[in-house]
Amino acid sequence: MSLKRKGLWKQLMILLAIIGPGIVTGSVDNDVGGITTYSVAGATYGYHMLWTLIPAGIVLFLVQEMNARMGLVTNKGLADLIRENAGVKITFFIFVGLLIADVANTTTEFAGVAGSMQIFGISKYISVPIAAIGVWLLVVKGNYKMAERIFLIFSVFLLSYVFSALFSKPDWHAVGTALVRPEISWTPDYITMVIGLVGTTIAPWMQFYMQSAVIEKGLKIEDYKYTIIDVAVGCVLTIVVAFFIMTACASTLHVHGIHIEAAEDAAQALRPVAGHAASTIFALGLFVASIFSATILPVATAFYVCEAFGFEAGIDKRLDEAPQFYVLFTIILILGMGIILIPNAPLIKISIWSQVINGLLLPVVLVCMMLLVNNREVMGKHVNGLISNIAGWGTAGVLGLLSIYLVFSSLFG
Amino acid sequence: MAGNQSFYLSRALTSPVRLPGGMGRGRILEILAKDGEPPKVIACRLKTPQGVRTVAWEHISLTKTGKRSSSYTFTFEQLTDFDASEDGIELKHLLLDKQIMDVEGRKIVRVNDIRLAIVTEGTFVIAMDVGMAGLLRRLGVDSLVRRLIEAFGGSLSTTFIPWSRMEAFVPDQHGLKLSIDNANLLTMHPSDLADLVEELDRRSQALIFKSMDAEHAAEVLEEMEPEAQAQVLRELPLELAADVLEQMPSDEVADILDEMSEDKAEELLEEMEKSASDEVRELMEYPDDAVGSLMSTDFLCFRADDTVDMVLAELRRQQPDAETMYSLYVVDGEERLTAIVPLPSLVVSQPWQKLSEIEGSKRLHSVRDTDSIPQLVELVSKYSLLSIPVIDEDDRLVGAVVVDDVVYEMLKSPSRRWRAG
Repeated sequence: MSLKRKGLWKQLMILLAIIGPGIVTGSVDNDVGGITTYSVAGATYGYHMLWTLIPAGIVLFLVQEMNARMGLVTNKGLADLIRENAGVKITFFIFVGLLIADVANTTTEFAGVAGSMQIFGISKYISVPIAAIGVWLLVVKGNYKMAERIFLIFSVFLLSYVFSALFSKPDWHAVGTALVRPEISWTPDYITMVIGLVGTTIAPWMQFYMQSAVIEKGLKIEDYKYTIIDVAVGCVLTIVVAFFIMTACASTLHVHGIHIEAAEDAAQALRPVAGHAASTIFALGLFVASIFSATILPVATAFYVCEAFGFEAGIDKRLDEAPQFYVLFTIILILGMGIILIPNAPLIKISIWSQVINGLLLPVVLVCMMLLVNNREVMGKHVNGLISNIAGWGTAGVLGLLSIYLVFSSLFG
Repeated sequence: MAGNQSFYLSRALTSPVRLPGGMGRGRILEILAKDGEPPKVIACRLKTPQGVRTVAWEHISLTKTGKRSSSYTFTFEQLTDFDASEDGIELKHLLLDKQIMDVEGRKIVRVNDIRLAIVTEGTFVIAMDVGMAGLLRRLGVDSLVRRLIEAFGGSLSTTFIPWSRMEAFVPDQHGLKLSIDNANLLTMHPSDLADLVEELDRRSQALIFKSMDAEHAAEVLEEMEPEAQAQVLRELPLELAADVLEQMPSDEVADILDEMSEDKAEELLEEMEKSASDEVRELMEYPDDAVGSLMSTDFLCFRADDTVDMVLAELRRQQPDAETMYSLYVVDGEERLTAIVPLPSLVVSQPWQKLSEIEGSKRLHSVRDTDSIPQLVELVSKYSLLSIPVIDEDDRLVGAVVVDDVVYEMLKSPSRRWRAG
């Protein structure tokens, strides 16, 4: 009996040592774009959008699991594998697109920093540079272990949205009903919102970050069962946070018929209807999410570009060991920060275009992933099983169609 | 196959292939090379109108067209099916786009393209293209970008890592391992690549030498660098090597033998005719900084009462190198140097005149074989001499030094190309 308990303890310790990449990647999913989408969805459709989080969560898990498995088996990043198996042309197409999209994404993350701090009366000309310097120091001077710890603390902070929702006193009965029997209206606006919700949950860069993080952490295929738990916890955490953001906005803004367009609008709008505490927590959550994503996005971008070219990369590396990685990271950070500090920068346009490019690239990346994960030469005996394949190709197909729809509606809608 | 052509793998994979006997056109899908130093191409997978075939890398020629020779056409005279039991490295599958790492396993760069060279002995992988130009070539926009860059006065160069720096080739694992330090890795430029091909070609040179007669072989050998000369001689059968050496000027032979081990040099001298080897031995005895080690023992000497006509007839008969004709030496019965006749003076003189009557034959600069080379250099540069006779302690003429040898000595360059004149 005591032996079994000891085994359990040991396993728990191993689990604690291995978790990280999945939770971090999942949490970064709830970045400024995510929080905005959830807030707007909650404010516009009340509880009737909550059901979408369930398929979104499943899809997220499926994709992340494949990435984790590929990283564990091949010890190579997704960008490594694409370059080595698809050649220069496809690699070039994907990475030029991703680079542009992710610089734009980084910009919107800094917009989140600026927006959330403005609620506390702090000018963006102070908050954004300080945030950028902090991020730079963390990545350049820190090591992977330390960075991951800080990321995990960020992830826990995001749970503050739970309190934000509780302060806004949701109608739990209505929430339950909406989850079980949602009112789906087949209007173009509603469908666009569903697509937006699923789309914001799966972004191309996440696949690259997930796989690279698994490798940088030095995990092996023997750690697979723990990594699965890490990925699952990350997905659940992501969905839980999204759920409470939506609930908070649905039970207050929707009930009072308040329309919002940005996440910081939600924080501000919450004050009169849900109280000072709910508003402040919401804004703080947004700030943490922004800083968090403003760190991970440039890291992920530098990671995949370096992998594609075969340069050394990683937070654990010293500046002289991986110069291209750090230079790229710094340039992306400066670009993202710089665009925000330009007065009257067209932030909404930048955000829409980055979504369009992401939407176009997502199916391409997913198809590459599916081909790689089924390539016996790459994956050996760890290729997808039948169920993973049906789910994987189904996801790639549906997300592909949704993305194409989203791109068209962003451009012509 | 024509000698010393080189090509890129990426272009080979996109170039048209002419097939023999009305089979139509094909395309190269993959090139297979045998692991070696460097890997030699043994076969290719060929897409033909009749299906995919693996054929031996034989009876194939490459023609380059286009302004910058950027389009290739491969022509197969004959298709021989390749014995698949022999294992080869698939260049496209196992090398292209793969990671290059240093010995400590740090990632450095990826293989953007592969440079191959066609030399006499076959086709070899000589270097990995890791530069920007390689990437652009793969994207199919290199000529466009090159034109753009050149329009703005720049130039698009690329960077290579020669195969010889590759320590290990680990397929399946993480890619290629390099044996040298990261820092001085990416310094090789296209011009250096020619040397690589030359180096590669040396292996096949021995083969060519075997097929040439001694006189022809000697001419070719003379044009090569000392190290390479020594290498070729080591590869040749002793008898043939000795025959070749007999055809060469003794100072050259002495230089070459200096590059070789004492045993091997002695072996060769033994094998040579005594008169030839004695001269070489004498030369080899001089210390490195003495004029004697530099001088040539092949010079032209005449008697004071030889007529211009006789001298010219002799020159026509012997057809010596231009450099040894700059000055004609006149000796007496004791082989002592008495006069120097410059070639121009000889040419403008009357056919019946004797050498002793020609003007300009009085000035007499010479060095002793035991003089130091700096002394020689000083003398040559002071009087702007094209050549200078070398005499021994009894004033007997023993050799000559031409200005090219002096320049060569001053530059301390091992290249023998300075001699071409």
